[in-house]
Order: sequence, then C-alpha cells, then structure tokens
Amino acid sequence: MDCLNKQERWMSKCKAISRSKLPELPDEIWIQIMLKLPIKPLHICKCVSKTWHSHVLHIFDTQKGLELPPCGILFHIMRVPGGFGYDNENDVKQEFELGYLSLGDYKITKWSKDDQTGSATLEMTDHQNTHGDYHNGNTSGLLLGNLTIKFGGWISNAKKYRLWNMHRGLMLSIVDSHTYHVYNPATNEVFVLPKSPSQLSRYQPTELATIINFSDCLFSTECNFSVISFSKDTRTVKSMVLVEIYSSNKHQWSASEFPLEKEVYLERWNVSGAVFLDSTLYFMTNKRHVVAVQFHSRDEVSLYSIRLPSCIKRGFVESQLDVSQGCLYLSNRKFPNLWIWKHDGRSTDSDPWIPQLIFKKSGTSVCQPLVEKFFRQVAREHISPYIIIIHPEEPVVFIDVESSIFAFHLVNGTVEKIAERSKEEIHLVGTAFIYSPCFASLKRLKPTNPDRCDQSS
Amino acid sequence: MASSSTSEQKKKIRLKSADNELFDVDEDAALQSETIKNLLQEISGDQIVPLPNVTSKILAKVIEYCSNMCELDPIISVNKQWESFFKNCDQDTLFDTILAANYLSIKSLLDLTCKCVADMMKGKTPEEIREKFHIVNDLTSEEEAKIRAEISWAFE
Repeated sequence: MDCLNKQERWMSKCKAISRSKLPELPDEIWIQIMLKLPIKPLHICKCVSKTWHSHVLHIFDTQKGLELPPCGILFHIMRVPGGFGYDNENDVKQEFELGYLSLGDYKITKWSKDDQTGSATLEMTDHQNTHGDYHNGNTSGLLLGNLTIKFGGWISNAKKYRLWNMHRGLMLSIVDSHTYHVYNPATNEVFVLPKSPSQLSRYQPTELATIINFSDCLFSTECNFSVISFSKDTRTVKSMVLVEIYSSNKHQWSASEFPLEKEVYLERWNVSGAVFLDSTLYFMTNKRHVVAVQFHSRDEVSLYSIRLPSCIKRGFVESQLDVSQGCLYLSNRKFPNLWIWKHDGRSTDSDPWIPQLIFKKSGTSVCQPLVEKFFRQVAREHISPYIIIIHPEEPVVFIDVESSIFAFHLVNGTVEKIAERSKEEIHLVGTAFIYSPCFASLKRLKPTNPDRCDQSS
Repeated sequence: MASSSTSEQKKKIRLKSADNELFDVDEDAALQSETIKNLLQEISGDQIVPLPNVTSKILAKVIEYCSNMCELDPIISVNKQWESFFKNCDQDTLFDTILAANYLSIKSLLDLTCKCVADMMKGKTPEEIREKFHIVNDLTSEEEAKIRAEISWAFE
C-alpha cells in the first residue's frame, strides 16, 4: 500500500533520529486532525514540512464554506471626556471609539483600550467556546481560536480616518481625497493605494470611495479586493460620473464615465455606507435615491438608480441600507416612527420595496405585538431608537436605545436586551459594519509601504 | 471450540488480535466498528473475527471504549473521561489507537483521538510540532521563509 511505502521512506529518513519509532499516521488522518485546529495553528502547520503544507492547502481547497468564523458588529461610539456636565461646547473634544458586538453569542466581546498609545485590541477567545457548544463537541469546521485583532494605530488615527468603510474584514480608510489606505486588522497589514488618475484630470477629487473584498476570507492567502471611487465633474452641464476602480489583481486603476439622471447626480452620496450584494454595490443619496453599481466581468461596471419609498425624503440622513439573508434591507427612522423594507430584488421596478415592519406612534402599525409594545414604551419615554444594523444572516435588527442595545426578531417578534454601553459613551454615530476577520494577506501588494499601521504617520 | 456456542443472554463476538489473543465482546459493542460489522456479514455464523492490524494492548482499550459507549451513562461524561485518558497516555498508544479506530472505522473514537492530537498542536511553533511528532522538515529554507512571511500574523 501507498502507506507502507511512505513508512519505509519515513523510516529511512529517520534513521538519524535514534529514539523515534512513533507510528506513522496516514495523510488522511493528519488532514482529519488539522481540520480540528483553529485557524492560526492550521496556518502554522504550513511551515512544518512539504507534506503538511500540501495538507493545509488541500483543506483550504476542499473545505470551503464549511463554517465561517463568527462575526461581529463594529460601530463608532462618540465619547465626551468629562461626561455630560461639561458646559463649554466648543471645548468638548469628541473622541471616537470602536465598539464591537459579537454576533456569535450576542455578548460584548472584551474590548480593551490603552489610552497612552491609543491602541486597542480585541480578544476573540470566547468564540471558540461558542463554537464548541453549538456543535456539541463535534467540531467539523475551522475554529477561529485565540485571535487578537489589533486595531492599534488605526484607532489612534480615528480622526484622520473619519471616513472609513469596511467589507468582509478589510477596511478602507480615506485619509484625504486621494490617499486611501486598505487595512486588514486580522493580519495587521496596511496597504497604501497608488494615486488614482483622476487627480490629474479635470475632475474634482472626492472622498466618495468604498472597498469590496472578493477574497475568500478564510482560505486564500492573498487578498483580492477592489476600491471604487466616484467623482462628479462640476464644471460641465452634463451629469457625468467618473468611476475609478483599483483592482488588487491588476495593481492599477481603471476609469470609465457614466451619465446619470441630473437629479440623482446632484444629490449628496453616502458611499461610505455602501453595501455589496450579488455583484452590485448600493448606497444612498441624501434625498430620494439609491445608486446601484453593478459589477460585470473584468471590472466593468454599470450604474443605475432606484427610487426610495415615497415617505423617505432625506435619504441617508434618516435611513440606512443593510444586507441580510441575501436581500437588501432599508430602514428609516423618523422618531418616533420606524420603517423597515426589503427590496424585492428586481432592480428598477416602480415600487420594489416590501414593508417588513411599520411602527407609527399614531395610526396602524404593522409589526409583532411584542415589538410594537416595546416601541410604544420607547416612544412614550421620548427616547429615540437608533438602528445599528441588521444581522447578516438572520432577520434580527439591532437597535440602540439610550445606551442599551436591543435585538428584535422581525419574524418571531421577540425583543431582547443584549448589551449595555457605558454612560460616557454617549452616541453611536455613523454607519456600523459587520466585521469578520479576513486572513488573506496584503503582502504581495506592497510597492509603497508603511509596514505596520502603527508606524504610518 | 468456537462453533460450540454457549447460549447467553447477550450475544458475544470473538475477536482475534494481531498477536493472536482472543477477546469475547458484546455484540453491541463490537458493532460500533463498521469494519467488524462488514466482516461479520462475510464470515458465517460464530467464527472468530481476525483483526491482524490491531495489537492486543490497543484492542483491549478499543473494546473498553466501545463497551463504555454502549452503556446508558450520559455519553458526554464518558467522553470526557476518555479524552483525559488519551491526553495523558503516551504518544505511541494514542497514535496506535488512531490507527486502530481508523482501521476498525469507529468514527467517534477517531474523532476523539484526532481532537487530542490537534490539541497537542495548538500553540506550538513549527519546530516544536516537528520535534513532537518526529516530522522531517523537507522544506528548503527559502520555501520556509516564504511561507513564514505569508503567515507572519499567525505567529504573533
């Protein structure tokens, strides 16, 4: 048998090692063993020997989609040092922090911040237990294990990175209109994108950009992402949009121009809050539209717009887009009312938005009794609920009500308080993102470095 | 001798290890092994089931495990006891049990023992893993450096 042959070879190799007569395990057993490893030790197995390296690659090739590591929500929290008693508003220095809420078990994961260096680490150890419990000890998938995500210098530069966006574990930080950093917190790497050509063109540079991560976050070793930026030519009467795409595979920018309806063109765009679904990127304007950018093969794109439901007049100012269970969701908060729609998937239909939840302080609400009761109570206390995000895989909506985070289920109609924030963290601001670690490396893309985030100026 | 079966409440299966030792095992316990189940279909009646790949030392352990699994005790606590046994036994016994579980196709035992080896690998450097499992490093230093660079984050 093949196995015997191996044993002979192995024995001859090991003659030098006098004390070894350990029984040799066949390859398929080593693979079974490796399947039970968390992601870090699994990667480390790659440097043990040629055979082990190929075992790990085999696992990565064949076990795709078996089980992804758990994810969490990252959101901006605004702090006011000194707390609420602080009078002079001009002196109030706003500090931003990242909050992390694990979606694996709905528990706040330990989040630590070192004030001296401004570095923050996120321990994800609890996920391992979570997985063990869920699967009754039968751990067929890959575990995340003890992973420490270091947001390090990224946090200390939070002000500089006022605009940021995240997709599948990769962050795009917009330093200024033409300096884009791609940051991978799981591997602690930063890549500084080359300048886009529009800087030299007649277009006004803009901060309208977002990242799309195409990598297989668990299994690929190299990152495959695109950064897409939009510029509007303010000097011509034609409403042309310049779309520039940086592709990590090609290491270069490509540009194309698209005409767009004047109305949509003139509205303000919230590209940072973009979501990606079925090769289409969606983001809102500040008025009545969603802009959709559809990716075709070879980085070609097309642009179109979708009307928002008629009751939304101020786009992203009062509402947000989320992707959940493979559908596009839209939620609108106009205190004390709350609406949630699902997009029916057909692009430009006159009214593609299907209401999932309607809560009105006066008038008929369409929601589960418990949810309605909850919102009635919130409305009575004149507290404004803030929708954080919708769970990517479940019809569960996370909302912030006066420093408590609640999760309510759109189908079962259950409401659950899942976390409480500290009192000095006063607001949740900006868009929340789903974070799940991406283990693909940015290494190959390094014509310009700073090597580490902490060292970048 | 083997054919003159004495009637008992529980049917026994007679197994023969590589070193020709005979084991009488409850049928329920023996049938946890897919391999034995298949062998029993091939051989007729009450013949001895030969297991030339498993030594008596290991077979005794495997039988003990299978019998435990048939008992009505909560499986989880039984599993915990076996896990701690395999974590503390010598590596030869562990590896031989893996090979036996694989050969006899006893999935739960194979899972358990593989898990123990995986636990031994956690938190170790490649050097420590090679040392522990006597693996020869056949990667060239360039190859190794390249792989290490790719996964430098995993070493932190």
